[in-house]
Amino acid sequence: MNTQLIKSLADAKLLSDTITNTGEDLQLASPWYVKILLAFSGWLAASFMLGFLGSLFSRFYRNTPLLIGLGATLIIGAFFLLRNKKANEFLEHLALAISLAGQALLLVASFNTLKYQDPQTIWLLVGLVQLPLAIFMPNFVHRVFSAFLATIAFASSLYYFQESISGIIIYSAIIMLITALIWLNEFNLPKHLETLQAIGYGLVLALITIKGTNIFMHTDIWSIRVGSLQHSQWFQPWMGELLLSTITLFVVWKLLQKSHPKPTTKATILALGGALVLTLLSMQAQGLMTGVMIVLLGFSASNRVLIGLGVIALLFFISSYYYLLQNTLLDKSITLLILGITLIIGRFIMLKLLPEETTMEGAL
Amino acid sequence: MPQNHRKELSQLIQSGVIPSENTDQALLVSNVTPDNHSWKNFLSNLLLWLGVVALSSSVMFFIAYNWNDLGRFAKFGLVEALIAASVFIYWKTSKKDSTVSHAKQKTTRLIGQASLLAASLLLGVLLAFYGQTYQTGADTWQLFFTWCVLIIPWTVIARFPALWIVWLALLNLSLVIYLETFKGVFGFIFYSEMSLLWALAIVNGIALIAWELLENRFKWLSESWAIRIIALAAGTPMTFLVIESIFDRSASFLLPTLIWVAGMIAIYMVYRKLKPDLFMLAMACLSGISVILSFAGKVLFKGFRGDMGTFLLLTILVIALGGASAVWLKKVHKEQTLERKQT
Repeated sequence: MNTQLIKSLADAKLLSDTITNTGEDLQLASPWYVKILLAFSGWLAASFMLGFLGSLFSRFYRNTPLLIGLGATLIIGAFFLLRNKKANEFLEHLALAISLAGQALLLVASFNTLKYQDPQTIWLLVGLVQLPLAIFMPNFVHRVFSAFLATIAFASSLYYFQESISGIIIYSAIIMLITALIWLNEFNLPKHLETLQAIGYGLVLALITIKGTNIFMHTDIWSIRVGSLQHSQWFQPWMGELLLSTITLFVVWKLLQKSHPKPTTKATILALGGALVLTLLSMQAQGLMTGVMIVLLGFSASNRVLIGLGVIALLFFISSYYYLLQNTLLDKSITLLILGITLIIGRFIMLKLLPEETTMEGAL
Repeated sequence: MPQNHRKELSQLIQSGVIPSENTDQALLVSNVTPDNHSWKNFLSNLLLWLGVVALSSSVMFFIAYNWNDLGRFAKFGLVEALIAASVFIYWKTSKKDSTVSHAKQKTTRLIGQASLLAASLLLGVLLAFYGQTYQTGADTWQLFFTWCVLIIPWTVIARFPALWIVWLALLNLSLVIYLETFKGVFGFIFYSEMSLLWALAIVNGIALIAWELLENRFKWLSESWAIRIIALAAGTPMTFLVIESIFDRSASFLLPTLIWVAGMIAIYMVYRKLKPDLFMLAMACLSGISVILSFAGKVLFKGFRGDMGTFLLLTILVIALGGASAVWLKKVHKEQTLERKQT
């Protein structure tokens, strides 16, 4: 633990009096790329394990109750392995592989029962299995994976259920709100900090997939129903965009509240006004605000991984926007032109109105 | 962003060393919550980059729309004028003015870099439009290669890692398209399916070595994200090359394996000893696991014809290799953190 950091915290009287442990013996959290290594080998081990189980139970692959029983047992077994605080790296890998293999067996069982004609129910089941796993499975990598898959699965189920994209737009706005709430409050629930961070990353990855790529926009990834680009009567796309704009203003407001010293009235008006103009302009270029919000949330807590993910989201957005079929390239070009000019002018206004000595925060 | 204590603070909060009522204050003291000055700088940069990318994309989309009401000369004029304007902005901002503050100089430099990036992107649009208008008959790879060659001067003067990454991406892209088109022609020299992997591994490998060697001389090259991207661009095709040579009988096994082993040793020497970087070591572990497993998989499937024992052995092997890598990486991580603290 950094002694300078401990000293500055102690000087500011922010450390607990009752606790003498100043973090010297705290475990170092592994960086994200070490976690990717764990995820990769866990997935690889799970696929070999499936091969093993497959050859062991080859005659029972049509036996749905057995598959469900075996799958559930494997997942519960993995839960207890991961809950063990003394578990080492090898047990962690083993548990991940066991859990993934168990989930795959449950998926095979649901395909056995529902066949391929009912994708909405299969996706719903996938989501319903992944949701509790994201919350309760005591492992960071597992939680990221389950939160990601649950979000995508519910989106897919909704898409097949509605046969339109309007619901998806509203759904992704709600997911953005949950994501923002998680990242704004990650440090407020110390006991659940790691859980919140893991679910937060899973949700961000899912948002990039939904918003940054066009999987739900103009073609169907599974090519089952191509071109179902219609809007339902109840959910119009503008409702989702309006919701997203409101969420953006809420996030900017929260960031202003968190800042210290408190921003001046001028800075507050500038921040909220800027955010409003940007959200109104980007209604035509949906996906942009999602990327910008991920970047802002990342910066507000010095989270470089989140900032990086936000930048990736913005790059994905620009390339997928090109292929979006709802508007002509001319319309999109004009939208981007107005947006670009507004951003540059916005920057100029910000620097002019808030010189160095003025306190400000979050001005967009 | 000031020095980042995010991870350490997360642990202190989680373990209760910092009581929950002090959390917000602790986040401010440790710079995890950025101060107002950092926010302003960050937003200024964000607005600038988003603006430049939006404007460049706007031109790109406009030309791609192929609007008939606007003549081709007007379109050429538009793109050329914008390129000239971008270069002009760079020229204006590159003049050194010792009377302005350091922060102001930094901002001006950034505007210069952003305008050169815009000019480089727009040059691609101009070339594509030229090819489209006059039906030059050039292949697609020539477009990307010419683009890549023509932006070299700007890339050199910009002293900006992101532009070098764009340049390298263009070179990679032209190589991929070239070899996709002409894989038959060079089939007799390299094994055709592997020539692409060879080309990418060699080009990006040279780029990585050059970047690392020049980094000491040019401090602006020290951007870990850029070096890591290049390392991935070199390491991924190299790993696939070895895996392909393991499974493909007609391919030579010795040469790719020797180069791969040499690369792994070099990565260990450089990023463990000379210039510690855990990311590189983690990716090398990933490459190692993939290659060892492919080899074991081939031997086991050949020997046991894929019965359940093979799968079980492979499962155990992955867990053993993955677990051992994680243990080692955590040990190195701890060592590096301690060393950093001492310095």
